[in-house]
Amino acid sequence: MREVAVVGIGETKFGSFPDRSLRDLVSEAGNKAIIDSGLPKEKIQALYLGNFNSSYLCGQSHMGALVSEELNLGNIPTLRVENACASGGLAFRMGMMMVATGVYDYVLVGGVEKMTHRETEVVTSALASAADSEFETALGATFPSLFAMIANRYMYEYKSPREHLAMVAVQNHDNALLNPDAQMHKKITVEKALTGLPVASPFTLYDCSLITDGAVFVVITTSEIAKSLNQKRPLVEVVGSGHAGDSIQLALKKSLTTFSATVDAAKQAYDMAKLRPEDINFAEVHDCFTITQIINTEDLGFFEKGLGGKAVEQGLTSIEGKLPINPSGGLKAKGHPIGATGLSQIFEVTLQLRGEAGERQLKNAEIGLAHNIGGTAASCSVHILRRR
Amino acid sequence: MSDAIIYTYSVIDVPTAEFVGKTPYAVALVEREDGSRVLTRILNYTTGTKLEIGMRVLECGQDEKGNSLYSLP
Repeated sequence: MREVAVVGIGETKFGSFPDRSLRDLVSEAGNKAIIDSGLPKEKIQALYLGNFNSSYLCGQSHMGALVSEELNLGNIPTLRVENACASGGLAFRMGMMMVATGVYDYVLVGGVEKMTHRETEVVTSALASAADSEFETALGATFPSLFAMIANRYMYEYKSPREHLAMVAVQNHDNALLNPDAQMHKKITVEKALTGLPVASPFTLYDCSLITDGAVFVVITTSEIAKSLNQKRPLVEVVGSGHAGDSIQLALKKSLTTFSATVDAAKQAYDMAKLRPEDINFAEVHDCFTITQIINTEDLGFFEKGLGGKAVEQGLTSIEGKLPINPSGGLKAKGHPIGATGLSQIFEVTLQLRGEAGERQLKNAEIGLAHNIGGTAASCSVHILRRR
Repeated sequence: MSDAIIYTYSVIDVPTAEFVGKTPYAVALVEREDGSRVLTRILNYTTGTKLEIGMRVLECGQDEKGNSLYSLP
């Protein structure tokens, strides 16, 4: 396998943009990434696009072809990758593997989602389609309710306080205040998070990630080619990649409080990178709900089981902490444009490794991890990026 | 008709399009005597009904998809 590097990144601001089309979002982020790479467009040989549900939310399928046309990439092969909320991370893995195995030298990977123009119940239904339609959604389960059930079970098994969930929201909101591309720029308190609009007990609105319009693109090539580009910035290599699965139904999961797909994908990525959890300096961790971040930080090997919430309380995961989690603001406060989210994480990790993250730049950013799950952790991708 | 135990639950206030007007309603994962778990709705839940992990529930019918529905005794 050849070594792979991220040589270009671009994203739109995340938010609610009623006047912006899918094409408009794609055009901004895609062109930014290509310009950032310094490569001529003609070099791009293939496109992998993470997109969850524009078929339902925008009446637009066949997104790969739409994007290559919008970006004037010529008649290159394209593929839309759909794996619920892990669509972006897995589009990245597909592109990375194609470069690593020598099929292509230059690949554009992107993600886009436009969500905020639809009514809340329509978006809720769209999101619920990531669960099982016959055995979960038909019974009235919403996506928040599935993770809310996970949260209730977690708090029961580990006797952990409800406040820990709120602290995740507070911390991610704090981080997003330093991210100009973030959707949410609002400081909140634990009390406010606890008393927000009830969504699915124990969750209030503040336990849930945002409904977001946005697009993110990255350009990848081999490390060898990347070095020859003479970019005046550190080389960012993809040193580890993992992809694992689990049952789509919550009822068939062995445990609700450990995500086996995260454990398995992380192991693959750590093994490939020849690194251990303690080598990771910071991570973007999938926080579709507050409990999700807590469980995933444990399953990635950062904290002992049952202590992920305590780590947030102790400040270990803050920007100044020992292991910053979601310096971007995460899905909670930067935003969650579903198909673009995995790329949004790669964008943040790359930016931090380059030392270009501005006010939220981490002091120690040599090795970063991006973790993306789909459904109730029925799909997972983990990537480890390293500055060279 | 058989007993089961609430393994975990959530009361939904923001529903999908198909369940607008039916909130709040309770969904739960219940564990049956054979150890298998199944997602269900707790039919006789109303605002203020106390739900807890470990509570006993009774199978009380099926929805049109054949999913078992449960209620508190």
